[in-house]
Amino acid sequence: MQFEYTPVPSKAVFGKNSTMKLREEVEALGGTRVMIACTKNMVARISHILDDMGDMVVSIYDKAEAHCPEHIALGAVKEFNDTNCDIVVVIGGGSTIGIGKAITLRTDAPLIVVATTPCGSESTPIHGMLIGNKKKTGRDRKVIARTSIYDPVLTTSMNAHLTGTIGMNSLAHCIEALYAQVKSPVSDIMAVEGIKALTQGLPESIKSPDNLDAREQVLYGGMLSGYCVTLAGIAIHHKLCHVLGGHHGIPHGESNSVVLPYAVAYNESAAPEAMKKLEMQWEQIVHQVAFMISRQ
Amino acid sequence: MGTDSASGGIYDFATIIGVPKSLKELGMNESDLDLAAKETVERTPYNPKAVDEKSVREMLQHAFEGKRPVPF
Repeated sequence: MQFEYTPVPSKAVFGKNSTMKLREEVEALGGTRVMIACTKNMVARISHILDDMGDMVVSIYDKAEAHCPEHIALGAVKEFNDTNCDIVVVIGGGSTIGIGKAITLRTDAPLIVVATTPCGSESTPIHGMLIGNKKKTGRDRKVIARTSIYDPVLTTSMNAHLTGTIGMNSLAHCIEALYAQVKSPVSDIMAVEGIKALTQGLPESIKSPDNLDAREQVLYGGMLSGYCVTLAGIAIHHKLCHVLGGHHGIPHGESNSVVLPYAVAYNESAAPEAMKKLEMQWEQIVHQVAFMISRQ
Repeated sequence: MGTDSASGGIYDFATIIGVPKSLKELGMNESDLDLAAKETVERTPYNPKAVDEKSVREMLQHAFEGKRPVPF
């Protein structure tokens, strides 16, 4: 056996109501002046967090938008500098995390992410913003969140469509990690565990949005999917989804949902060991699926 | 429903959770599939199966139609 493995340099704080540990985590990183980045809709939902943080919160940048447009990201960097903040806390999903990464990339300030979706972006070195109608991306390990907080309670507001499509993106990252270029036996463990958690949690999260145990499974799978991107890499599936998103305007979750079965079919004969691992998982998934059908 | 193939199993799972199943229903134009295949080949540095325009175009046709996939 021969492989290289570098762990993802990020602390995970996982569990129901773990958001209440945010203040502690900010202090552990030496943060004293906090900028919170989120969407407008999120502000009302996090009032209890803001109350707990008190006057540590110097700025609330609530202008996050889909795909992280350049003027929004650079506006956040300017506000961060103008208000002398020393740590950025993102409360949101992929597009909002883009703002936090833009700040960390340019200021070296530590980033904390409170994940509200299972997208996994908090643990990847990929940063990017929308310039005109093109997504410009780059890679730098320093944009990986120093600490990520995973609180399933915050994910219950995702509707069925978002839960399904973002979940398929996470599932795709775990599956591709089984045959991506820099995979290792260690990344395989995370990929298989992620597939298990997502396929167990997604059907029930969609059927009963307030089921916290199911939401917990999905968020756990999402966390692992982010590690998978960083530890193993990506292959044709995600490249194709980026093409479909860039020139053809298809949203990322939607393209992931449609393309995944075909990308796996494409690689089925070329990656037999990965497929064996996948099919072993599938035995369990079929049981799960049969159970779902029996209850409909 | 069975485990005849990993790709077929994923397709069945996508059906159960009710996510979109074809590029057609996402509003993609069939005439854009050639360009998408070309761009994908240019942008994919690594994949277990070699990436060429003809095979990727064939895969895209299947994804456009949204039928249950068969392994290549």
